[in-house]
Amino acid sequence: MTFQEKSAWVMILALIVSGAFYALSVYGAAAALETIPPPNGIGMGVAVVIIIAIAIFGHAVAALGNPTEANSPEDERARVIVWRAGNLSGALLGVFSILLIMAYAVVQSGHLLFHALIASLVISQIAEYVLTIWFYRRGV
Amino acid sequence: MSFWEKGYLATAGAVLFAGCVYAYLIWQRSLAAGALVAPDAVSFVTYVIVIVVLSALAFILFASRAATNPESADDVVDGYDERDKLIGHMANAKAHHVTSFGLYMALLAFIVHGSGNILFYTALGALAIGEIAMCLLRVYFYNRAI
Repeated sequence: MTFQEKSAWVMILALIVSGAFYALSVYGAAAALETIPPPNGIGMGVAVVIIIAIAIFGHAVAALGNPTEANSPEDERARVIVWRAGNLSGALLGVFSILLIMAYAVVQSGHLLFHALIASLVISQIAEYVLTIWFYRRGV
Repeated sequence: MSFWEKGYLATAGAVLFAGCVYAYLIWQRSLAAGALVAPDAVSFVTYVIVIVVLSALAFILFASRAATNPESADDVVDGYDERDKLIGHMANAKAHHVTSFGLYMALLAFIVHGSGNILFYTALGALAIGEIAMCLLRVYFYNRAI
């Protein structure tokens, strides 16, 4: 497994753990308030710290296995894989965002739009890393 | 300038034009109401349709002119080649970052102001700016080595 693939797995783990933490915090607040809660700044801050911590630790462990590869620049194939994965995940983010703002025009809930946009950003980023691994495995 | 460059420049122009008209419309309605008005489905859908129609018309016009010109007919007939695909992937991937940054700024605006209408319009603005960035990046990459 190349360093870029290991990096993608680390980021997928970081995003899933932090996303699950934030989703649970929003769910808990919604259950307590019996309505869609406002943005939770502390919960978001903790989620960002979780991402940073897992990313730093995970990349350090991944680089320890092969420091030479970790320090080497991207080759042509890696660049094309990153571009293609970014292209498709960007399209996914665009579709989610358009659907969500169209839903806002009907539902008119700012809190719902806020949490749904956060979810779409996290999901599109996870999709980008999943696609990166997929293209490394089967070729671009 | 190739057929694709002209088409994407026209698309960027269409998004900018429709965005400015829509922003002006919302601004006027908000001045009359004394506060930022909520979005309505009719004007939003009209905004999207105007962009799609203008962009499609531009591509059709440029394609028909290129097809009748012996020097550039191959651009249209050959369609999307490997270089076009690579440029598309690069431009879209980088524009994704622009859109994501804009959406994060929209979320920050909601945290500060607490207004769903502000979140809606800033998110829409982020999407439009991302689309314009994608079109301009495509033209930029067509004109430099990748």
